[in-house]
Amino acid sequence: MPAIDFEGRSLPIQAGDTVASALYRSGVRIMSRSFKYHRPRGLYCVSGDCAHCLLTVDGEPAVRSCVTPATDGQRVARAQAWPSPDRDVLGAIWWMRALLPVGFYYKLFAKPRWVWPLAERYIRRVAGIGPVDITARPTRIERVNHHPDVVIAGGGVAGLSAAIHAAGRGESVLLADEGAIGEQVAPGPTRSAIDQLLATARAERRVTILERTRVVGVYDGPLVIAAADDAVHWIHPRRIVIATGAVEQHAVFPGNDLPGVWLGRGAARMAGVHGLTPGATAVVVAATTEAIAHLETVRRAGTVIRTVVAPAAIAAQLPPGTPVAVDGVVVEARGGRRLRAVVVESAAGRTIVPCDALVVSLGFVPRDGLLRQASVAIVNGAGDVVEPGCSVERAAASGEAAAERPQSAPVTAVPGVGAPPTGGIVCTCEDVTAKELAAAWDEGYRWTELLKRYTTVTMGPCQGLLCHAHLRAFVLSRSPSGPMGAPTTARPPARGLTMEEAAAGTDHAIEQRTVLHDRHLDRGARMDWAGTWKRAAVYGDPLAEYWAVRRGVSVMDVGTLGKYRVCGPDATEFLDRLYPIDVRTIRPGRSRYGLLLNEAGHIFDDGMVAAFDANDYFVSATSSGADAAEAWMRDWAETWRLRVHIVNQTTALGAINLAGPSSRGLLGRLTTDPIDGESLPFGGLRRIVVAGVPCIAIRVGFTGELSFELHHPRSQGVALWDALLHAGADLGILPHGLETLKLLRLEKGHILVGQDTDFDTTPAKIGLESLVRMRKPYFVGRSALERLATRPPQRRLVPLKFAGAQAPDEGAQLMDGDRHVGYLTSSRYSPVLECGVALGWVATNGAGAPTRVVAVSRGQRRDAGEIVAGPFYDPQSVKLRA
Amino acid sequence: MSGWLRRRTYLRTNDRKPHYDVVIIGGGGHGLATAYYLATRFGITNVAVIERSYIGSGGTGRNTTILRANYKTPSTIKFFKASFDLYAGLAQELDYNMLRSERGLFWLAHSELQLQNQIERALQNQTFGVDTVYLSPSEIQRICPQLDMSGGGSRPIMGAAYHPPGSTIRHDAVVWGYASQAQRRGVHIHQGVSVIGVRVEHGRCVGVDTTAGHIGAGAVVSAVGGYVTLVADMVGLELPIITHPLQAFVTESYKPALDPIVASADLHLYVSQSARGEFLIGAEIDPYSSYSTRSTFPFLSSAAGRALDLFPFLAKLKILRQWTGVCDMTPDYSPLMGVTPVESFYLSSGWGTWGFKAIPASGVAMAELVATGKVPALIEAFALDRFEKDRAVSERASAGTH
Repeated sequence: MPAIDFEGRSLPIQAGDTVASALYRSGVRIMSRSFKYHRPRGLYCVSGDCAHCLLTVDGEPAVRSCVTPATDGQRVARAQAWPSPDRDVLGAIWWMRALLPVGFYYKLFAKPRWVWPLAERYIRRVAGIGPVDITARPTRIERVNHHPDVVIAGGGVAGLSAAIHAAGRGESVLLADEGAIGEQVAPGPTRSAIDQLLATARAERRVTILERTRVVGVYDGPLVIAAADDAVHWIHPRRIVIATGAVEQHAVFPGNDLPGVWLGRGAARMAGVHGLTPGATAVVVAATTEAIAHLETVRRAGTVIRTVVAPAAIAAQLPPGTPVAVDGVVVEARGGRRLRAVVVESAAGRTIVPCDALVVSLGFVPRDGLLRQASVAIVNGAGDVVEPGCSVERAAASGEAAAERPQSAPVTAVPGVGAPPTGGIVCTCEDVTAKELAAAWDEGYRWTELLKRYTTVTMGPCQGLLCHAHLRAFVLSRSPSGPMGAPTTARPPARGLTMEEAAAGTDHAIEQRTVLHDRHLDRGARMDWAGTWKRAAVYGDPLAEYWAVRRGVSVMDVGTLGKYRVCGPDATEFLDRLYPIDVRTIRPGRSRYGLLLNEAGHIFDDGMVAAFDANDYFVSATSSGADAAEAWMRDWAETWRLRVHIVNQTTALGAINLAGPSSRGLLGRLTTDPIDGESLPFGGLRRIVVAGVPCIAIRVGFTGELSFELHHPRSQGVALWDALLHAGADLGILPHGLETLKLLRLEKGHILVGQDTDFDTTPAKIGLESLVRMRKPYFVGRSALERLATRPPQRRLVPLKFAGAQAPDEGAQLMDGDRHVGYLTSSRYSPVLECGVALGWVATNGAGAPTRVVAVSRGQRRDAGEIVAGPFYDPQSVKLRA
Repeated sequence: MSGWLRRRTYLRTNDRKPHYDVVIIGGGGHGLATAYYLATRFGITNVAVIERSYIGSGGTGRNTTILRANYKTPSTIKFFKASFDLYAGLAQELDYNMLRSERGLFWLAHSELQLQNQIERALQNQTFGVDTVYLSPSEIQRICPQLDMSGGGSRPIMGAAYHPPGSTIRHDAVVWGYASQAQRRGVHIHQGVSVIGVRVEHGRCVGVDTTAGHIGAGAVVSAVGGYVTLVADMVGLELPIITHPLQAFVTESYKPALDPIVASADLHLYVSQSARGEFLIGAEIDPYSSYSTRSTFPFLSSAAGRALDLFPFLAKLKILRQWTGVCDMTPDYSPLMGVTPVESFYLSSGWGTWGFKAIPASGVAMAELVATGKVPALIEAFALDRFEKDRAVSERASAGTH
């Protein structure tokens, strides 16, 4: 026999059972303990709206058990209480509530200062509705996109009617319902109508029905989100119909939250759907015609009706012989851990009716969270959600009308405002009583939002569905006009959405790899992120890599660089406006290093501008800045309306930098093209064939050694890489990674944009005035630089040297005596110079910077250093130009 | 500890006067704190705070309530440390408990660049007396074993700057505490009143026009968040500010499972658990400029995904609600405070994503400025004219999250 495991007990389940109905069948009456007062809570709405039946199911906390199907072997438990939720000693808090007035934690623990931290430890422990399993792991949930003409939330009479009607007009429809359609509706006219409509809708090929799929949000776009167990649906509709129905009005009177107090539909569901009585003896409050049917359903299941409390109009429709308190009012429910008696007042006087169930049907509150969230004008409400408590016929007509209107203003019900609550628990999620609302009002919190934030009313799991109307009724009774009674904002998600459901299908970790990625892994490289790229940081022995570049030959994968072909009749004009360098004087076959500035004259990227020919250029950008650089180029090309093509070759071309004194010798073994200092001088550019691979070779100088940057078709990258390493074996060739490159370039005094620069770095602040041709009439940032030239920089990036075998930390703070003067952005020990070399920002106070500083690293290590003239290595660039 | 049972009125409704010595536009934390310190420290009590909705309805009531002093420039570290220290004793000063909770704050690095950034943050903080230390991955794991050190498999955690004083505090309590004590000293608060014009005569600000009529003023302070560019327009002032939405979300309330506040510089995300048990998750500003406070699902989806990379155990927790605030972003991400070209019109603005942390220090400084006419040393660096002088206070490396 199928069963669930409930706190170690095996409880049988029957077909159609929910977790809650299975528990109830086995005699479990207390489903949870309340948030603040630890009051016992039993089943109440049985529609997934209130927070009374939140249980941990298979490790997932706070599951609405009344709408969760029971399955064999499920593990179910209530949130912890001591010794158990049935007998919770903290239930005594209720009797001490006079000592815990509204907002007590704001008042009680202000002074002295040490009290609150102690109290907090306790409050944290007792707060919270469910335990968290620290070992839980996400499961993979699919994201599915849909593009229907109409999306419908809710598969009741109105929703199904809308679906059938829209399909009849030839439109595609997607209808989602949080349960299995109809399963939770007790047999009767509504259920029959649903069954009939469902059969019709299923026969419509244009209608897709998603059951057990919660619509959780209506966002601008429009984008409608619906979540199921295995998939999250991103729905992009043309129109939206919200038919989420209504929930029965939460009744507020003393004792209103006792186990045994039911909303009418909830009791009818237990009786009609699961065959379980809400109690042996019941008092029924029947203020709606629907309640008359509930009365019958409950009676048939075996409950003895003690008294029906009803207005005269309803009382007249009751079966003869029904005991009625006409125009009566339930003023109190009594009991300890469950309902024992109900106090009824009527013209006949005050009577105490012993019973173990109170079934309340007072009216309806629209389940309108989705409607109130929506800002788009293509949303229509249908059925109960706009006409709470409407008849089956009205619901069907309303659904058809909602499907009909192609474009209309959102139809939203103005929630009715009844009498303000005077006693009892207004918000059962957060345990806020009517008295507490009144006290808070008297303290001055006179606005729905202030009351909400102060008392936390409406802020629990039901998001105010049950209590928002009472909150507004309360405020409007005291302040009938003005903005204070405005409804609070409805915020998504409307129905519980788990973190993993929200995250379904997110591909936030985009990883770009060069074609040589596996080659790096084969050599044991540690790969590191550089923007969205993965790059080899180090292959094992950084010092060996370093010496290979400085004394022998080495290769580095620089395929991640941004690479652009810029050509067209205005290409020279375009680049000359874009870069502060003189682009017009770059002869074909030559290249020049340039900074990219924004309009404020601030550096945001750098790279090479190389000329193939007149108006035909090859431009590079940094690996992580390439996307921004490209967007920048395209923006300006549009703005200036110049005739220029910008072709992104970043992923089409691979690039390998061959560096070291022996690099020319090695290259000579693999090419027949001229590569001598005359044919391919420093800064030169030439198309050559290396090991059968066509390459664009550029003589660049980032490492400070003779180097050839070989750009080649990506598809031949592996062949080129292997050929270079193979041919250079006898020269001791090794690849070098980003770590080594950072040291090499630092010795040469080259900056890394982003690491050494700040957002407001101008060329002058880092000593690169030589890369700015102020003689040019125009380039981006020129006017800003002109103005800034009159303002001496407050700080400069300078080269620094540190004695000793260990360089200070990158990020070390620079002190001049007691004065903080700056910090290091780059710092490495230089094996060739046998000292620490660094770049750092130093305050200039408009004039000279200090010449000697102390760098403070982690662990209070202090290194004395001096500011020097750069570059540190090969200052005349003799090696570079070899 | 006594007196919590005593019935007390915290907030009052005031009748409008035709003229106040000081009118403050904006009834958020900044406006109310300025009013409070004007009254308590400078004896100026003929002050009105004008709020278009309810007090605390803007950025103060929408932020994610984290207090920290681990900033990245000398000026901001000093300023936010002063604010942090004022916050530490605020509950006692205002006799209003604010549920302040010292949790410790991690700033995780998942890349070489951020690692260096966090080391620099730790070292610079220490130089200016702020307790921030660099932690290696094993030290991080020891303090916060809930973290997935592989960063969801793709973003391994390489190190962190750890700021032990990092705290949370209840935002609304800050608003109500200041409002209540300011009113006790005679300050007026007018809720539900919008400023629709600022009157300037002969280069001098003389009052405001509101939906409830004209109110004269000896001085006007804009403590407006999110929409300050619209208020500045009223006096013909163009601010170097662009408004961006900033979103956040919270889960239902669960038993305690996470003590520290964890932020990630590379994932642009931060996570904490409130005293009530809700997990609070925020991220970077939206990439587009807008005054809208509509929430979006792509944000929720992306932020939830990143949160699961750090804390996979959050997978089954339910999201309760998401919301959006708007932030005034300056080019250097530091505030704009002080005098303006319009005489007796003062600004406390440009608070970007971290205005809440600044409330007490900003309140004291603005009160001193308005009362004495002199710019306090603590906020000199944040002057409006710093951009034209090329003296930006670069907080951008802090990567605009919280």
